[in-house]
Amino acid sequence: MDVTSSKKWRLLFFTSLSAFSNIQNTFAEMLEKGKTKITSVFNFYHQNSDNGGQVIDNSGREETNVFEPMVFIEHQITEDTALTGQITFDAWTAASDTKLDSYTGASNGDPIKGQTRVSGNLGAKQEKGKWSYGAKLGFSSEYDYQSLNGSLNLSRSFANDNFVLSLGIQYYSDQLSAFQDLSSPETAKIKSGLNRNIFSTNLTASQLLSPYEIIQFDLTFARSSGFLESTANSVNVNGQRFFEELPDSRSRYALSTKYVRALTQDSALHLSYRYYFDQWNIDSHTSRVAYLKEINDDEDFIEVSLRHHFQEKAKYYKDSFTIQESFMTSDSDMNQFHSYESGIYYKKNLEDSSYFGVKLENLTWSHGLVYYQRNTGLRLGYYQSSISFEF
Amino acid sequence: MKLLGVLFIIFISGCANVHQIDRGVLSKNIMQLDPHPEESVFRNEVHSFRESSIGGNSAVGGGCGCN
Repeated sequence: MDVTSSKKWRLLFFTSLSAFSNIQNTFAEMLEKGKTKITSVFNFYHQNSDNGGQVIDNSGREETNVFEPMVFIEHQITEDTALTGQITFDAWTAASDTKLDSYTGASNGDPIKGQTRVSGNLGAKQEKGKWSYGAKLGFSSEYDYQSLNGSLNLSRSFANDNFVLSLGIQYYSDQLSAFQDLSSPETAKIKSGLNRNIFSTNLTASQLLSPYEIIQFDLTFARSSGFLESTANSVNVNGQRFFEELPDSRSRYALSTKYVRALTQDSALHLSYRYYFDQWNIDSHTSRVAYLKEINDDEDFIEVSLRHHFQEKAKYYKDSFTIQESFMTSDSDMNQFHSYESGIYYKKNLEDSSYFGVKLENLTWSHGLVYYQRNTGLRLGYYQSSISFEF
Repeated sequence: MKLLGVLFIIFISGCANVHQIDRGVLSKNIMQLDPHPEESVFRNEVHSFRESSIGGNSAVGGGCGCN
């Protein structure tokens, strides 16, 4: 660890120690015994850019379209124990580094081709007095990426639920595929079974500051090891294409805080900030501000938000290379950039209804729209629609 | 960062204990730390995959050929 990293760590430790000696929050509310809650979210995503230095055909084209429906299920089996589950299906088309055609998975120009992914998890959570426990097991499977993962979460409330401290641990055992030669998509060979493991832990504390404000702090550490290059990423070395080369480990650190303040009885301000740094010399600062206003009653509300993100480039990043280096990437996501995001979200509570003899309660419907732009050219946007009910 | 740390400590040391009866506003949807947790799963994926940063409840792995 170099001197700069050491200083950053000392600062993170000092700050978090001071915070956790005082802080306080509340446990998430559980459903009534025997109740089931289902939430379906439909995500429609589009991105475009001509600045992807990693794209093998030198087009820079990073066009991607994603359709990703998600279903979340929660069933309360006893007063203090619930089972949870999530299933996600992705279908996408892409014309860039993540574009995989049906034959080899390589980038293949027009028309853009697609692939699919399915993922899910099952878990349980329980509250016992001031303690709350949770565990999940999950999987993800697609053409060039498979993941098995698990997580544990432990929380304890203090000071009459004014303060909650939580510790989370996640582990991912992943396998991916990567190209072995730079020939055309029809003849390129792809190698499977490359290992990537990710260990992540986070410590979160939240506290009620007054009847009108709450604050949260989070420390995250994650370490990835194994094959960390992307499936089809390449770099330009003096006009010739070579594979992306990256170290086989990466340690990542983040310190974040969120502050929520009621402005009036029916409106609130959300402020958040995150500082992030990692072993590949990416430093980033992310800020977000959101204004929420109730409409009709406290179930219906509208949110407008603005977000800014700035990151330094990875020390292995260059737009192009003059000589081959031990580690080199031109992945546009690892470049230096500013990004600006704006969003609007609306959630509406609907009347309880009965379908096929089943009474649906707490029926809600929501819509969200987000637009995002980088100063380096990438633009993306997505629309989210969800419906949620209990029975 | 040092200034932020000092401000943070001063801020936290002034915390009050909020009684259950006074939490009417805090229990509202607009006052939740994440008022739309299910939608945030996808939002966090997008940020985690398109920006080389994680943390603050963002996704960290388990899919996508990202670094």
